[in-house]
Amino acid sequence: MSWSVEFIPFVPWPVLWAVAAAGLVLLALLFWRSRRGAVLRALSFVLLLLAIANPHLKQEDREPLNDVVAVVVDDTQSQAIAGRTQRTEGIRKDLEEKLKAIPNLDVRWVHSTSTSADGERDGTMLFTDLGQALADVPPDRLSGVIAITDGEVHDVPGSASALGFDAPVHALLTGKPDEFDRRLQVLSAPRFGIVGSSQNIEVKVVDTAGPSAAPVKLTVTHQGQAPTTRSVRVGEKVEVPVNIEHAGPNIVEIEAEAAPGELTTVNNRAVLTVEGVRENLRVLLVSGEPHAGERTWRNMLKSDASVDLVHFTILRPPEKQDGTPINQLSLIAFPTRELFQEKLDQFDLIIFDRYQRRGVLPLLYLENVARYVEKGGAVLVSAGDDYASPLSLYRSPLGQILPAVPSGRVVEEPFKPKLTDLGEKHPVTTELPGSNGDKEPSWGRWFRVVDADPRDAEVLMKGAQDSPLLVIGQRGQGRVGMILSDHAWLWARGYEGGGPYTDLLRRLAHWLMKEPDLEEETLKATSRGQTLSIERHSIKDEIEPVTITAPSGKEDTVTLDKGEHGLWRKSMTVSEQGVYRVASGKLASVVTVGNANARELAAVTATDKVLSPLLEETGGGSFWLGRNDAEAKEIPRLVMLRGGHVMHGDDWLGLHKRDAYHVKGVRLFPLFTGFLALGLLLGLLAATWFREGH
Amino acid sequence: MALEPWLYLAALALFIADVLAMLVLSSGWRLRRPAAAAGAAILLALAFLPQAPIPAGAEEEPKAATPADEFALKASLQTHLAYVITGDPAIDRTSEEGLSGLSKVLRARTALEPADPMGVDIERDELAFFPILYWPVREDAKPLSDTTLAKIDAFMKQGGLIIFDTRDHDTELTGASTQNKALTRLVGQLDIPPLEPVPENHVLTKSFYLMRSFPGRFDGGSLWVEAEPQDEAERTERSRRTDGVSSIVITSNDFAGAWALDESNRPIYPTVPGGEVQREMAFRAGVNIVMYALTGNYKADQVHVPALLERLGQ
Repeated sequence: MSWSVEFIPFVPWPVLWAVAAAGLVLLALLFWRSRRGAVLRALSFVLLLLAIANPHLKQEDREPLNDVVAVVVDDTQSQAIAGRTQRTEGIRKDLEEKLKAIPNLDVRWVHSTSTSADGERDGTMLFTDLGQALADVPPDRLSGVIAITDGEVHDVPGSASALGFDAPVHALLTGKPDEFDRRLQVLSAPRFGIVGSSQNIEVKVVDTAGPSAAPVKLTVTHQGQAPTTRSVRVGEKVEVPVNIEHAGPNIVEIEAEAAPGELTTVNNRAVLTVEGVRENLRVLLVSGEPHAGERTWRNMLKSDASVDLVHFTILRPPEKQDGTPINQLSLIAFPTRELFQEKLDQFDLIIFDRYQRRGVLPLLYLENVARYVEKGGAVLVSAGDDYASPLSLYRSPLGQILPAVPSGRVVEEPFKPKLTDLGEKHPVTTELPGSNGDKEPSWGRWFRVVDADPRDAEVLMKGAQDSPLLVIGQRGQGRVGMILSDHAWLWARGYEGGGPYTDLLRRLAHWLMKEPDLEEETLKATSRGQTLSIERHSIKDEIEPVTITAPSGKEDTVTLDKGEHGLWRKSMTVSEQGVYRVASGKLASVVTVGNANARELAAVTATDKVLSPLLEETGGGSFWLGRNDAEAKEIPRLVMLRGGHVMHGDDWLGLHKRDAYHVKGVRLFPLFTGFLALGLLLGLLAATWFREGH
Repeated sequence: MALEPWLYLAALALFIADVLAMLVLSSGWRLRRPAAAAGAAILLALAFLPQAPIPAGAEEEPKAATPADEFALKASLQTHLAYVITGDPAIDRTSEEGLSGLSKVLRARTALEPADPMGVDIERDELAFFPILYWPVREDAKPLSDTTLAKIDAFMKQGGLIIFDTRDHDTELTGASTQNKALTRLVGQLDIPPLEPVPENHVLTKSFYLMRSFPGRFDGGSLWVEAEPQDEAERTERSRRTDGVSSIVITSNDFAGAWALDESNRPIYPTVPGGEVQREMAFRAGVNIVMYALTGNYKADQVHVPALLERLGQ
């Protein structure tokens, strides 16, 4: 309950002031003329003005309100190192106890993490989270803000006025002064590189203590290779060469040796991916004779924008010389030496289409091709009845690497090509349009398949009498594939509705050329916001669990859920930001969650420098609470103060006592109205006139 | 109540008037004071009427082989040159003899070894197996059914090549001759792109032999092919689908008549104007057309091969 006087004038204030001024002038004249009754007249004038100003007695029903203190707990990644998690928890508990002991105080707990819902956050955003949490707290109830943090805050307002409240901000620092840390800083890293080229990654080893001459060991590991080490200096720019060995992500790990006594080794390491990009794929197509299927191969390869096609057809075999003068013929000599000796290794794939030994290619060249495959090349043979004949390509030095041994028999009957169980799962043939799973495929029939036994190979499709139709295999570092029929063109020509010849032939060709998307065993990780999705494709029935390594070095093992067609999947929400590594057996993948250049782990030493200007302005202070182990020092005393500019001392921190209240109701009583005022005025006027009259 | 402020102001005004009067009168004359005093008193009395306190509320609240399968097996296992059976025994025999003669030449001179030619019933038989279809146009050819036209359209769009032979030695494709009228009747409703005589440098002029003209039993008639599309998008589309290969070839030179050989490989029909050179050229034309049907634009690409190989070395 509180009382006060409030004026509710009958006329606007300026009018009242104007009238008062006019009255004063007149009264001044009266006094100047020293008229009798001037004092009485002035008194009645004042009373008249007072009546117009209409004073009221105001009665308020008040309810006192609790003060609010906000405690911001920094749960970001930099707070997870060097025992700070436990220390923070200790401080938090201690503070909770002490705050409970203070009467009429509400505590707002704000937990600030390094991630946000939109995934755009990079760094520690304590004040953003604080602002959101205090949106519904009136500034006059806020008695103070206490932040439990390592001091590396990235959204400190420039001045206290930007805070939107006037209360002391204090920082309980979870570290010690003069902490030491070493980190690896990536200065520049290429994102793409042509396969076969070498790119440089620029890194620098940075110590918080500044550059020094002491050598630091830098370990570089390319995925699947033995690590190499070199010695570098702290603060020196180092170029690390990376060979782009294959298409798709090439993963490189660079790690600087741990320094004695440093806070964390998590930021001594960088994992980078350089996307290998291939130049146009070069395909050499050798057609043994013009036949109905030749244009199918040509059309497929020529319409593929990523392929440069070099095509040779044997239009006239050497034994068919007639007397036509050479200048009337449009035939050119096959540049065999150039193709099969000098520039063979420049091709990504060599396709033999119905090729038989007709004396065009010397056996030596076919031997070159076999060697080329072992060294990482690829050969695809599309075989007709020629493959079962004595002139078969199998009976050449190339035969030793071919994945199917012909029996000499050719099956010529109508059949629908079918996927084998493996073919259902293999990326080359999985979900081939028209395969219809267990049912009869909807594509057209073929009429010929060369009977053969697979050798060190896998059968993806089978033909008439269950003989292998599509056979693929690994040879050394290279790959071979065989279609044991030359009838794929029937699909192209639309016989019985045709079939997915483009899909089949293109995928087969690209698998042979090691297209990363068509590998049998793949592990892919993608991220969207804070959701990490892992996709594992495998032709095996069972797969190993997947290990996930978080940016902070924390490891997790997850088992993926089995899906259809050899696909396993799992999605999960992760809390950290930065580069996650996902590995299963020999497979590995790297994915960046949230912001790639996470500032969190760049600087991890605790500091009061970032916050101190703001603390000073608000009257708050910072307190170093780190100890040697994960424990925390005693937190400062909490003191409630009514005011004062400096709200902290060595061992105490002050909170503003606000005395805020809530008004429940108001009553007004007019003070100077009615007969009392009337009587007073009339009396005074009468007295005035009486005085003036005598 | 709304009068209250006015009464107060009036009282104030009278008071000021009274003061003024005071000042003026004091310098000589007098006013009839009681009247003014009474007025002021009444106004004040009205203004100071007692009033109640103002209430204020709270501030905030799989199966057996059928004849069709037999046909499919035969047609697909080996490459066959095929002709359309017209129903005219003389024409059909010439077609058979002609394609057989051309097949012999192909076997002897090229890597392609076609089996015996096959006659095709355009209404009933499956066309997809044949890379090339020789179609002599009868003078009294009847229009085709919609189903057949659709089949022919699919054949051409999926990479087949049809040689229409009007056999009338008409040099221009004006549509004036009876044969041309017959051809229009046959396929006029097909979606055939604009045609042009084989231009210089067309693949047909270099797919096996280097050729300038394409004579048959007659010489002089042009060989018509699909014109290269002017529109870039259309060209890309055709190039994607059929490697830019023309799906239609029209001649008036009676190819089959020139290619027809008897059992001892002697020509059956004389060439006009004549000579074995013209017959040789007719065979070469046949070889080129067959190679064009089977290898597409292969020969056009070969122009670029040296450049491609050059690049490989780098």
